[in-house]
Amino acid sequence: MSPRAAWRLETLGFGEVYDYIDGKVDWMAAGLPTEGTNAQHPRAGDIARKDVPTAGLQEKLGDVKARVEVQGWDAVVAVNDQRVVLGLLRAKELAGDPEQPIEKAMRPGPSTFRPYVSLHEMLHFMVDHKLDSAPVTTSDGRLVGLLLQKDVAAEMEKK
Amino acid sequence: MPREIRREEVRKVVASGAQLVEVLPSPEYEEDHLPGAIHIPLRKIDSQGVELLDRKRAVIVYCWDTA
Amino acid sequence: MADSAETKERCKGCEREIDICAFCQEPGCAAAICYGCQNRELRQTVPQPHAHGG
Repeated sequence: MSPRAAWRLETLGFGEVYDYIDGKVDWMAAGLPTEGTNAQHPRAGDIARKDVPTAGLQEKLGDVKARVEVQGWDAVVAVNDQRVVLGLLRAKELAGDPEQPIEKAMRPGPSTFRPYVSLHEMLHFMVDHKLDSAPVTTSDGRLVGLLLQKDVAAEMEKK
Repeated sequence: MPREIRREEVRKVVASGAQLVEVLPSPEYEEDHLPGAIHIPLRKIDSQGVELLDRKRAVIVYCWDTA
Repeated sequence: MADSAETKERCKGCEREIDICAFCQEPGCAAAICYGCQNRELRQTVPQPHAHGG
C-alpha cells in the first residue's frame, strides 16, 4: 500500500515524499511506542522482565548458576556484547556440568517473541506448551526481557 | 520519485518536521499507529483527501510491512 | 540439527512434518506447531488488512 500511496502523493504535487517501506510492524518489532487502542493494553514487551540475568558464551556454567541463584532466578539468557540472544538456560540446563562454558550448556537459538505480541496469545501458548518463560526480543534479535507465565497470568487477572 | 527510508531515518525526518501518514484502512489505524501519524487511507488519497497535509512539508507514508 | 532417525512431529495447524515444536522446542510436545503457523497465530492479534497489503 505505501509505495502506491507515495507515488500518488507525488502525482498530487507533493515534492518531498518518503516511503517507510518496512512499515508499522517494523516499528513495533523494534519495541517502539505506538498510539491507539491496542497501545493502552500491556503487551509482551511491557511485562517482560528486563532484569533477567544474562551470560556470555565463555562464562563457566557453575559461576553463572551461583550468580543467578543468589538473585533468585532459575533462568539465564545467553547474549553477546550487543545483547543479541544466542541461547537460553532454564533449570535443566543450569543443572549441567558446572565446568562447561555457557556455549556448551545452553539451549541454542531459542524461540523468541516480539514486544507487540498480546498477553492473551502468549498465555495461551505458554500454558499449552507448559513453558514458564519465553524471551522477548526486537526484530534484530536484541533481548528486551524474559516473559514469565506467572506475570502474564497475573496481568490477565487484572482485566 | 518517492524515497524509501528505514526506521532510523523516519525518526530523523519526523524530527525535522515531516508529516507522518498511515495509509491502512480502519480499524488498523485506530488500534495502533506511529506516534503523531495522521490517517489517510490509500483509497482516500486524492486532491480532497490530502487537504489537511501541508504541501510545503515532507510527507512519510507507511502501511503494515513490506508484504 | 535433527537426527533423521528421530520421530518427526506434526504441526497442529498445517499438519506438515516438523523437526520440533517451534514454540517450546521440546520433543514430543502435544501442541507442536511449526514456525509459520506460530507466527501467523501470534500476529493475528495485531491485525492485517488482508494478505497482500503492499
